[in-house]
Amino acid sequence: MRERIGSDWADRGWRSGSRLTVALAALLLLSVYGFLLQGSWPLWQQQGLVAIIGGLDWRPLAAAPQTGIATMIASTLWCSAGALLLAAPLGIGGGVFLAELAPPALALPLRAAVQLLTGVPSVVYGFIGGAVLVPLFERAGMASGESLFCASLVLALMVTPYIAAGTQAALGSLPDDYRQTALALGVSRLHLLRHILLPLAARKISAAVSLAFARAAGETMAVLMVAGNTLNLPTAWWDKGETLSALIALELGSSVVGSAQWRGLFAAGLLLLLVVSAINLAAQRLAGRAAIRQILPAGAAGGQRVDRLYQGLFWSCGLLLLLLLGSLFGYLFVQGWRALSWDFISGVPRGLVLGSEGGIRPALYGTVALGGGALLAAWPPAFLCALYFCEYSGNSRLERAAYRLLSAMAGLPSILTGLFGYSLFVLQCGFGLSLLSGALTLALMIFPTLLILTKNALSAVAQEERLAALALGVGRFYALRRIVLPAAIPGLFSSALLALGHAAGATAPIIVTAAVLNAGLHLDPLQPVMALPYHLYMLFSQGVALDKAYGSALVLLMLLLTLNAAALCVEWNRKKARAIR
Amino acid sequence: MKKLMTLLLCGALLLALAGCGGEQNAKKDGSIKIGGSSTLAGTIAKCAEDFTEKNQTWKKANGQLPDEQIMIFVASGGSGMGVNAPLNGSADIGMVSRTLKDSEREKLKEFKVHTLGYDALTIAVNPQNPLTKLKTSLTKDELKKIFAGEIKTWKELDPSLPDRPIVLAIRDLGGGASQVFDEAIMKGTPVAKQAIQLPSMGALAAKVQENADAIGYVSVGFVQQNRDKFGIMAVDGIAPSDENISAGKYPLARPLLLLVKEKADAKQQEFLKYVLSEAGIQTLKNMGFVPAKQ
Repeated sequence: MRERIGSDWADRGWRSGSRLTVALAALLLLSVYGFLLQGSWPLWQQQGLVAIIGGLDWRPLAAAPQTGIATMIASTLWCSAGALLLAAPLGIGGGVFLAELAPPALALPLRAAVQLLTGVPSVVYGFIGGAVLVPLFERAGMASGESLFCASLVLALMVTPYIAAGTQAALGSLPDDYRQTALALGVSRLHLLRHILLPLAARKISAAVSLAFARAAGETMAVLMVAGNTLNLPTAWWDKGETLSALIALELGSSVVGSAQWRGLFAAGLLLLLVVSAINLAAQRLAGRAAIRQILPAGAAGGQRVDRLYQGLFWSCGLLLLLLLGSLFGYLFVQGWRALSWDFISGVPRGLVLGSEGGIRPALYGTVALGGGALLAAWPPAFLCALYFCEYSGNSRLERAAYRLLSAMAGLPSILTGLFGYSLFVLQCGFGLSLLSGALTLALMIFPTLLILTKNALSAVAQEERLAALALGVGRFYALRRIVLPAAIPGLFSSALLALGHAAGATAPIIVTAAVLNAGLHLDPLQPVMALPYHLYMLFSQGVALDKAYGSALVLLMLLLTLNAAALCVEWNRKKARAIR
Repeated sequence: MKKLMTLLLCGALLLALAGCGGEQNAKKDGSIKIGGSSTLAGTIAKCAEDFTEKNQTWKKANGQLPDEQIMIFVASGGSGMGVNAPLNGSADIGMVSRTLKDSEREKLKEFKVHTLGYDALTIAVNPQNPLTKLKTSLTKDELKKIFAGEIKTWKELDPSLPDRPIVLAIRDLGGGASQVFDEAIMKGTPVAKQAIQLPSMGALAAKVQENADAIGYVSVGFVQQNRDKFGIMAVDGIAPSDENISAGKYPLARPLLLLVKEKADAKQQEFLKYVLSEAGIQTLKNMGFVPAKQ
């Protein structure tokens, strides 16, 4: 008998291989900061910090270029803060309702629905905003329907499910002992909730809210389609404005490399990145403090009236959330259903304006190829990194910092990934506008999410089993292969499905790296492709074939919801299997 | 297990590749990539689709060409992209819907500029706007004041009009239209910051169709496709008719250009021939543009 099962060689190989991958990935993602700084550096030197951040004029093509982006910064903050104002109460209330108050028969399907909604791509929200909300506001008497308020509303719809899901998960992660003890002592459910569960979960809930804020601030498509894109400084919520991400999306493709406009866009990107990072950091600090302060005074048990008031509040949040999202997608479904037919799915775009007749088959192919390619490129390194953090990491300060950095990159606005991918893959590497450039850019985008999900899947495997294996003298790698990996497969599978959906629904990163108006049915890595989200965006913005746009939106939605639903099923089965064991 | 290992290594390699420098350079494959003006993109995409549909392979289009599948891609991103993309290699052919600047001509020495036809920016308002019953023409000065934000409401333009704000619809800086309008009307005066920037000519046209208070410069092509959905104002009494446009009388006319390399390969030449042929010109006409006299 061998002394040790599994060779040391393999163990060491995996260890250093995965460590190298972590280092490379961290470097690559860190280089995004450096890249944005380098791209905009000459401009900072020429114009100075004040003229750019404080400047109100964006005229980069004038003889004396002005690249002030203060108005865009203001618009970005205004519409994302506004979105949070609308979404946070609703999302937290809804999450509490889902986790603690909803009757089980309602809670399960609702939780699934909220989970699914987090997979709806932003271009669909933008489309609904542009096609439904903007005309609605105009009918209500506004001179033009686009406004920061409208953008906030669309963003709020988009991030509410995230906040609700985060709140629900935060409450769900609390041990049941608290609930049982409190209830045994005769404390009311609401008192338990307000004075014990919520304070305990406050930190995680705030983290969910701050993530939603960052997501709103970095969002491109949903805002681009409804905010109006004017260059004025917003002074009211009803004003129009152009966000940093919209500025980049609109002007990147046509700016000359190295011109003042190009550098201005990089400066805008850098600021966007800093704003988003700062929001995240600040919110998480605050959250930590709040948790400690609130948990101390439990206070006397509140009167029944107060309890009932709160109960009503949470119920109405939950139901309102349901109603809003239900009516929205119901409308989309009804409108899209009319355009749907086999010919629409299997045909190629036709008509005087391409897409106004015919179907979407090439766009479907392109979307699947982009998503699949991105997953193919992102999965191996993400898996290796997750492996390292789960199995080999010594939990040193540097390693924790590396993990935090990598996972924080999940908040990187997708338009910045697009900017990075455009410069690197399209221009620098010479891949041009192509499937390859698009897939690699999307791979960069999904990498952090995939890393987090994969790591969670690996670390969900019971620690005891690992320790038992090690105690028996089994090598780590052998234990991994024979015990951890087989147990983690469902989790790995569902995380891959989620990441695939994330990549397939993204629009901003592919506008400048991969997407074209027309393409045949042959896929070639070095050729550009049609993609469903981009097709939807073009159909909508050309304003010629709204019925086809609704159809495309519905197909895209169903595709991604199916992916998410599959992931959810796998996850639930695993939990059930574990509960039985 | 070895297989898995190899697979993972390949993945790691892919990531390493992501950090590649600029060594590999542009491949020359069988496809044609065309990028630029959103006004022209629809026409060229339609031409590409028809051309592909008709011939399927290059050999069928021209016996001397290889027996390969025809692949032509059209990307829309504004005239700025039309000048840039062929220069930086992200496209083979550029689409531009404005006159080229001298500085651009300088850079584009290797390219031949083909004028397909002309587009005009028509001054369009919503058909429900009472202005359409009051006037048929606006002066250049009025236009300048409207777009500079000096005239803010319709009432300020004419006392009999409603006291509602004028909604300005413009193209973003990447669009050729914004530069044509600047040269012909604004002459350096900045457009009001309240103006809504639309990402494509289609979006601009849709905005004017939907919004009762909007005014914008809509490509004549889009107007021709939906005649009754726009109220058209002449400029200084000159209407954007085909004759006025091709005679160069209408002040807001602009050329529709294709930038093709002087030494373009046979496939590009073949497609160019199709675009300039009767069928291509017909497509251009169907889209509502005025073809160039050959």
